[in-house]
Amino acid sequence: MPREAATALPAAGSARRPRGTPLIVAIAWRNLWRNRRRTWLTSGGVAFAVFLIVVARSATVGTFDVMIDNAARLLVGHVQLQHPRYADDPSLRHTLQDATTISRAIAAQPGVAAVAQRAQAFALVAVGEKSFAAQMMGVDPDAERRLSTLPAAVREGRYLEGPHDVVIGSALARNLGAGLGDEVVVLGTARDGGVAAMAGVVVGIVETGINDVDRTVMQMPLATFQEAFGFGDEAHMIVVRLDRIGEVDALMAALPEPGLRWVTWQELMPDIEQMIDLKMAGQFIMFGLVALLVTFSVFNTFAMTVFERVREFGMLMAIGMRPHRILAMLELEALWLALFGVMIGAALSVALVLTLAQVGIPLGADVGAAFKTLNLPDRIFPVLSWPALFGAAALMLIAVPLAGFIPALRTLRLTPVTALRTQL
Amino acid sequence: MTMPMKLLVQLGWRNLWRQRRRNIMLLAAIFVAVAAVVLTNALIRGVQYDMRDSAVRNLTGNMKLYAPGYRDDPSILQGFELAEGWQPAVAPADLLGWTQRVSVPAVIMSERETRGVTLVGVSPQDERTQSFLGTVAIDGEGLRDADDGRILLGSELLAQLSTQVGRRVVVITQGADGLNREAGFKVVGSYDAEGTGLEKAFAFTGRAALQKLLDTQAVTEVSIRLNDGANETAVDAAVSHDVGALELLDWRALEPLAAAMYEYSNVAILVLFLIVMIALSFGLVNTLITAVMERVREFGMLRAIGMRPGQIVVQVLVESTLIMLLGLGGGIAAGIGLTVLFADGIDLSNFAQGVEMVGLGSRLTPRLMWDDVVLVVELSIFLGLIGSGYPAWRAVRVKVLDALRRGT
Repeated sequence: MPREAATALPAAGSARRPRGTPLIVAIAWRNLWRNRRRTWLTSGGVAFAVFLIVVARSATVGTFDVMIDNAARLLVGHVQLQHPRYADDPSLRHTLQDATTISRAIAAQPGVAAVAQRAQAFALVAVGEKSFAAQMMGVDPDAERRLSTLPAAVREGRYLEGPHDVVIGSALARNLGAGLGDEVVVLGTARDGGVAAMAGVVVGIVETGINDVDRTVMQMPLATFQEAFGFGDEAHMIVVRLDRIGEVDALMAALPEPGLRWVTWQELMPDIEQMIDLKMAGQFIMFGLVALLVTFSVFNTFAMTVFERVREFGMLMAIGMRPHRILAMLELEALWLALFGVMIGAALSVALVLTLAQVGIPLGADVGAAFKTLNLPDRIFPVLSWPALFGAAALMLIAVPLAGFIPALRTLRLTPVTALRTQL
Repeated sequence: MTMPMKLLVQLGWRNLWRQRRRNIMLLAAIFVAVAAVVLTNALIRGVQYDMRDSAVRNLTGNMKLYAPGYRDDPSILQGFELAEGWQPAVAPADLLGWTQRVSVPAVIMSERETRGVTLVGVSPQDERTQSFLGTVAIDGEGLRDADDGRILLGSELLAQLSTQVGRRVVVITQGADGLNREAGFKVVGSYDAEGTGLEKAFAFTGRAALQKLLDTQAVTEVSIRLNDGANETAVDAAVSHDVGALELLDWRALEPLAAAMYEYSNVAILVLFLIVMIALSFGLVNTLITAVMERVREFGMLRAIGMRPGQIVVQVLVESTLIMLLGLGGGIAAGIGLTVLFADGIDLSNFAQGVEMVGLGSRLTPRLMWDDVVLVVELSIFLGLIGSGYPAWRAVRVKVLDALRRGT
């Protein structure tokens, strides 16, 4: 409104401008506040977009961290060292030699939280008259306690201690009709093709809630497995859990292990990685939509601004301002507007995320209870996503001036005479 | 003075055209928002029903009957026999089909490998309406009938056993007397359940053939499928009334995770709608306020010649409602058009295992539901009215003399 404009312009040049700032930058900032309500509403939209992107991404990153960690800690770890062919063809013969020496070397690396060797084979398990097929796992009980949540998922009895102890999944126990203290007989094929046989006593029944595991798993001490299946100091995999999932690449680079193969969690659990990708794709579509709507609103704001200030622009041109300078001033206004909105959105979202990172977002009662039995947190702790923050800020700092540019182009067509004559 | 509504609408319509550019922009924003919401709602519904269907079709059925002890001890010892001529108490219009199965744990051995599976004795004709088995792609042959004594394996299991269609496998399972039975089965074919875990978990043979092997007339489960739109709770109550000591469980109880995701989708639709509408509202309110503020003099003039405050409010509301309705109509038409365009489904096979985790097929098919469209219309109009509330209030507050005295 020209009534205000008359006072705004001279004031913009006055004292408090920091030295070196071009006058036009300060004028742009002041112009923004000539229509407070409109600026608050438009920058509110920008702030909302930034807020939404940062909070949604941070919560998701937190969820994914818990999900990956949850899955990785159950059995497979963050990365495994295997015989190069084992991943495609999990045959008994594809073993790692000198597994103990290699394990020690890995454990000595920085960032490694736990290391465990395992040997695996399918075999027939019999309890009394009933028999069933199960996945035998020879494990190092102490290492597993540090690496995996399975020892904590023992529902009845205890985890492995003595050489003849075995623990079995709850569904397998149901199928076998096996209880604590029952003797189990394992019959399978040994490494040399002969018969592998062993007997053990059920000391624990595990319930992880993962069907595949509860239905098939049977763990026993590694030495017992090696003896029964005719193994030396060898294993099928060395499973590694890291302090932070991001350290996988560093570990693989530090220990190239020629002749062997590192298999990462993405390969071990392709379903989780794909689910993360899928969810991210969905989120980005939503972000795009919100950004587009905010852009429309910025466009309208500038269409209105330019329309209302035609007379003012005519005046500026009459006293010698070039049209492209007016365009530049409007673009600076857009940039200020974007910056202001981004700041508000960033401040609010960072405050919320950091608070929630302390307090946690409680999961539903059912999920929370299930997580607790696995020694996992029953809350999601969002992790502030810097890429989301900078990405959202960059997106808005580009989109807002762009959206403002199209209506602002109109100023180039103005001539002082027609502009000054315009009646509102 | 009373103004007929027709005149107010006409006036509102003309007023909109006074600021063509920005109103077209606002219209475009509403249009995009509504079209996107209609499409994403349809996609979320597609996901939701797809999840329920695959939960129901992976041998779960809409509801299932078990002997009370079967879920703790899934063996033929926990079987039951249905009375001659038993039919589930479901109205024919609601019933898609039902079947009896024998489902027992078993060990399968090839020359090289050993695996544990659930061996299911089925009646292949019944399964056409019951489960994925009716529609799944099969390499080799399918089972002929309930007397077919050959075995159908999942392709993943076939690979793990390193055997082939046409070869024999040995099956060990517990008979009705509690003793183990061991029998050779010829592999009749392998089914491809799109790489899902079903392939490893289930092997199929004829029900009568399996009953013969186990020395029993009993079955372990009855599975019932309903037509879309049947009232599950009502059917549930009717069936459970008539099954004696047997346990009736619906898919929500059998697949709690899928049921939780199903409920979550209802919330997701609302949340998405709210987010989009909030994003839209900044621009909407902004434009409407300006439309009022720049016409302060005009409103003052109208008041001066006798228009009542209530009519001013109606005037502003008519304008915002008109633009909302236009955007809404166009957006809904475009959203429906988009769902029709994507009716063949969106290919998700790049995420095959990821979508399996959430219980989806590899194609995402939108599913347009009128209730959702109606909800979008209702909420949009409601939010539009709220959004124009403040501008309308500002318009009423205009003092006649002040307004007329203003320079512009």
